[in-house]
Amino acid sequence: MTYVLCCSDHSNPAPLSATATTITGLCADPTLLSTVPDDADRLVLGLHLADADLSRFQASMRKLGFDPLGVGIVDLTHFTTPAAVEIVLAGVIARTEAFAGATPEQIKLEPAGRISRRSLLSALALLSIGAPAIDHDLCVARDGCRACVVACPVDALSWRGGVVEYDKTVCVTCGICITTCPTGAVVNPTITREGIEAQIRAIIETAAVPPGIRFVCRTAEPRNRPGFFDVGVACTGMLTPGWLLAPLTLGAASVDALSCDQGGCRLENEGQLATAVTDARTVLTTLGIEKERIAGDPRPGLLPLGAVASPGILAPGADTRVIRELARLVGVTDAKADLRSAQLGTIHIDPTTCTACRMCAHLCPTDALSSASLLDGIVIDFDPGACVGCSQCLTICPEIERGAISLEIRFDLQDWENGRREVRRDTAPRCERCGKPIAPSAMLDRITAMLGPEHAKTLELLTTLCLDCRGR
Amino acid sequence: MNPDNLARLRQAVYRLLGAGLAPPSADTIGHTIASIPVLEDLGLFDFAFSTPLVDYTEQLAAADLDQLVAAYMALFEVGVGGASCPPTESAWLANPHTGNVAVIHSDLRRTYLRYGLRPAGPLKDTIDHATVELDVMSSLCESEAVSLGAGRPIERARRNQREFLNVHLGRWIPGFARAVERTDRHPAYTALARSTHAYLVHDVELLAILGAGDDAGPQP
Repeated sequence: MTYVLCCSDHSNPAPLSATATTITGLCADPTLLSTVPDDADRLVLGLHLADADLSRFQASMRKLGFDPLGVGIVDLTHFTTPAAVEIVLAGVIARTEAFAGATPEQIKLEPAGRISRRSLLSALALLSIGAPAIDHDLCVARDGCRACVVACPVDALSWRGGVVEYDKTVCVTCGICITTCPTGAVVNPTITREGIEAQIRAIIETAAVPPGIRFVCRTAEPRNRPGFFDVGVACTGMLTPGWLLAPLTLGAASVDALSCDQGGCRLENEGQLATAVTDARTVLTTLGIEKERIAGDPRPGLLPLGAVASPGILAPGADTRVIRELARLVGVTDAKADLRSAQLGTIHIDPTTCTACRMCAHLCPTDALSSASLLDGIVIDFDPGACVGCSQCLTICPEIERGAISLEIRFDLQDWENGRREVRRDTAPRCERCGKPIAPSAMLDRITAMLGPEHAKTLELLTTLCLDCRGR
Repeated sequence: MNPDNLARLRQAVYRLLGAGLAPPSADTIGHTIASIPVLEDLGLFDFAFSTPLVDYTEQLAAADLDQLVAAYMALFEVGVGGASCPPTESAWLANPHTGNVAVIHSDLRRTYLRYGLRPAGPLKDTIDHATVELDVMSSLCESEAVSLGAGRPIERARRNQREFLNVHLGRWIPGFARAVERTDRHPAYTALARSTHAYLVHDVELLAILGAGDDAGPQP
């Protein structure tokens, strides 16, 4: 059972529903949490955050056996109507119920922002917040993937010997690694794809008129925007075009994003958000949808585009999935556009410079690029619908300087519809001794060109015998 | 939380976890269970590790001593080819082929001397036992608390704590705790493993926050 307890000290509206209990003095006295019944297994609090010492609240939650990271908190300060409180609470309840627990590695300490007079007398007031941890079963760093390492703006992640190492003390919990990871291996228990989707769906289902969804940085100063309901994210820099567009596929009328303060993102991630907004608007324009639905001033009474029933819209590969769903909702089957930061793409392989070494296919974290050995050679396939534009294939390509592989950040509905296609095929001469393929012809040609005629004997060995037979 | 209470809390938690990894007795179990209200006064619930620690004491309160002793023997003392989860640093960090168990032992002996400590009690000859190493951390936290009480600088105590966590405990306890948890021989030991792991992860971070600006000490 999820128990909702709200402070009733201020003149702000209280929730109407019978599921919420109100209590006087809660913001000032966290020990009142002891009134929570024993059969409550989830907890949502409605507080006036300016008056609440969250570090003391976290201590009280722990005493009652609640993980503070799994307790939903609504700041009641900025709501004007009970109906608005009700909608926000529904969202936070859904997100709280999606909380799946946190490991010790996913808990980060940070100095409490607001502390009580009691805490001011002491030296230390710390808050536990959610931090990312890497699920090494899902992580493909062992194959060479460094997507999160490259994306991290503060170098909290590093790649060593096929393992991504994470330095919690450096991490600023901006969440960029979460949306960058192609396999969903980076998980912050408080910023999960499932939790955020559940919250958006609950807000939309509870609202009487199609609402706007506003993604809000966790340190943003709350500013009410009529018609919009807030969904907390770690930092708006983590939002990809797909994440920005996703609420439209769930039934929202429009979407906005609020960074930490009006002077710009404190982590200097405002550039990422601006590019994502531009891309999202490009997608909308290309699909014939009003671009004002994203970070604009949508006209009043704007109807939703429809709603996708099946969950998982924010799962890895969200950008492609969301654009496909949007196109389906508005009945568009043929559209394409170049984007700048979306996590999707189309790979081009230049057969004149590619040596068919297949390292790109081996590394590709989503198997958008895959390869197979044939009787007479090798083949590399590409599925544009599975590509997340992570560029890992480019970073590993040994012939990148000769332009063997390139990536276009663009969506093309027809291309996605056509599915997997062959992008490279090459023959492979066979070993004169055992008959096994030696290596792709293009690779042997490249080695021949690099070594030159003065290494004729070496070349003969390389081109006539396979690796196993060369040493015999 | 004031720094004095924090040092005392950390001292007590290290001692409590160390006692849990020593052979169980009715006395130890009683003291462990009775310690929670004392730790609460020191600010236990201000920290995330309180949840697994309270769970451990609850499991301990529900445990039968004979079963606990049997589980201890099977997990930490005997078994085909040795204990299933040996609670010693050398079992986790020493390369059996190069035989550098002695290197770890001599390093620990030098470290203890440098800290002004000498292992005592029934495990004093197993100087890399988890109980001994956790007790060392407890003593280092006690030095910090004493220095704070006397108004003396605490930097050396904190530096020693960071060093010992980074060079010794922090390198093997996570793997050891995961192994105990996976074995799941007795709920109390599974909870103790979770609790020890959670506490060390927390303390490494806490020391980094407390020591921001200090010499960070050697890294693992």
